[in-house]
Amino acid sequence: MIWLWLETLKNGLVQGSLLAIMALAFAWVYHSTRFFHLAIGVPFLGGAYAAIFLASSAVIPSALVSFAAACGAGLSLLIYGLVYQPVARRNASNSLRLVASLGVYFFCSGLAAIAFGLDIKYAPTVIYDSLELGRVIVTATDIKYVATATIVIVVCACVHPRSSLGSRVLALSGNSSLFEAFGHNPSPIILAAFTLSGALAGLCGAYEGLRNGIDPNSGLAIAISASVACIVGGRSLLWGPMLGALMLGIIQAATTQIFSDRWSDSVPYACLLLLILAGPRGLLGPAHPHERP
Amino acid sequence: MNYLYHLIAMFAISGLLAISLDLLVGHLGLLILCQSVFYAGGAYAFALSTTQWHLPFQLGLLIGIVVGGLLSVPVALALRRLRGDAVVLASLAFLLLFIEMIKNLRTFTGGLDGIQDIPPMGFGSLLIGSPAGFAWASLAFLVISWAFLQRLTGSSIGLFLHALRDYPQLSTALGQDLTGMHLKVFFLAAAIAGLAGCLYATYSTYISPDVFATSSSVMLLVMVLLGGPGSRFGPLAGAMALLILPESIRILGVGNEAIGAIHQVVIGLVLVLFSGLRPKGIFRGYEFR
Repeated sequence: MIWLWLETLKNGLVQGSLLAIMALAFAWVYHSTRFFHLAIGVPFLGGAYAAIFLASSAVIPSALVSFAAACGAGLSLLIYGLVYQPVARRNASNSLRLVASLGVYFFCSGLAAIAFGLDIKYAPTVIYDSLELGRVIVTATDIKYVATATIVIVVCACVHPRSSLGSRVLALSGNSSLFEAFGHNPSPIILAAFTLSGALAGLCGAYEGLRNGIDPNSGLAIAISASVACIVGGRSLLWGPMLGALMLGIIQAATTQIFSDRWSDSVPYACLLLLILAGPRGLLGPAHPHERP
Repeated sequence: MNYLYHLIAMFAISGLLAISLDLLVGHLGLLILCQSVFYAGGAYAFALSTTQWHLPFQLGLLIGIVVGGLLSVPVALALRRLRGDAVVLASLAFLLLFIEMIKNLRTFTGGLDGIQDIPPMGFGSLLIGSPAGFAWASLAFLVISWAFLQRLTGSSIGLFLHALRDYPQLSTALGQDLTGMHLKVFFLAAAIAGLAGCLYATYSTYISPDVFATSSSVMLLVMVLLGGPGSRFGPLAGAMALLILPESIRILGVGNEAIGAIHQVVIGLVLVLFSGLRPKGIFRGYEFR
């Protein structure tokens, strides 16, 4: 029995580590703009397709992952420049921005369906090497997942406190009007947040694509899971989303263990609903009286 | 000719869904993404009552409408407390959760396989099995529902709804029963969506979770936004436009898979343009801010 739960914990950590990168990606945009960037599924898809198609040629893994991250960053910047910036210039409310992000996601996943078809695309070669720790089986991909997430988190943890970007993003998140009143320009910070977010989402997409394959409609579910992890994590750019993601991954794995694999997809949606309904105005209510809902 | 009747039937079903959603979007000012919950609820309740319990069509229809309406109660109570993007996100979470439940409660819903052999429309001994009969009957349902909603939104209730939409704080300050009105409006909108679900189930004789997926709910929102939220003919025009679009692509000899993808691209584009340019739709309806 104890081995079974250790296996569940391992599955939760592996799933949660992938989600942690995505949650970090989501958190940077969410804290700098205060709206739900569900179109984060687009750089995720971009990274996944780029990795799958490059995997068929003789490209070294680190170059492949870097290219996927660059694709993600490029797509994220395109979305910001072509859609979000014009929408923000017209002083649209957060609900309209959310509708725009859904529109971007549908537009891009439709384009992906036209370009690559609706079926799941897999990487040509997948390594299934594994090692057994007692009765818990750990595959090479599992180790790569956790290792990559750890590297990303360690790099973010080292860079974040030393750079002014993180503190500026949090300041922007706290009170955007005051931030501007003090003479700071939010545009470069938002731009940097979108670049970083896209790169992380592309990286996450590359790993998911290489491990489980990708189809054009798989971006929305992970965007919602990332948003849940980000809300659980609170007003943090690193540890909060990461812990939220790990928690969500473990709950999903436990749901699979207790009920069945079929119900694990429902966990993020149920968590999201509970989180939104938790407060008197929901957790997403304006943080400050002057902020538009 | 049968193809024309098929288009009329599909227009009637889409039109019912669009006018029901418009009641919430255009008149109550809520950007809702869970209309498919009520649509699916009505369709599954109708399908179960006619195939499993072998109830007559009329009773199945009534059950479908009531179940669709009842599903709105928890949604309305939950969304009543929320504003802005929280409404959009919570309604999306409701939809995704409901679709997962339909997929997983296999004993009742048949899971991914869905429910087959749903009987055709019939009132007592009068069986409406022909495409023409169904098309005119469903169009009659649409006309009656549309006329009823026009009368309702043109009355003092409509004015109350517009006050709630445009001046929520003022309406609260004047001591209006907001929760009661929210529940009633949601119930009515959901019941009409439930009716559309029953009509779809009896027309296609087969339902599965794919029909009610997220894209279907987003498409309904696009119908309303494209036509003009809160306008008299806007939702119907939106429904017509989104019905004609895939059919015109089909004429060009494009396969079904590509039609779905192109449809998705167009839906995304309309949503982006709507958010960016904030147009009032074809019939110049309510402008969201």
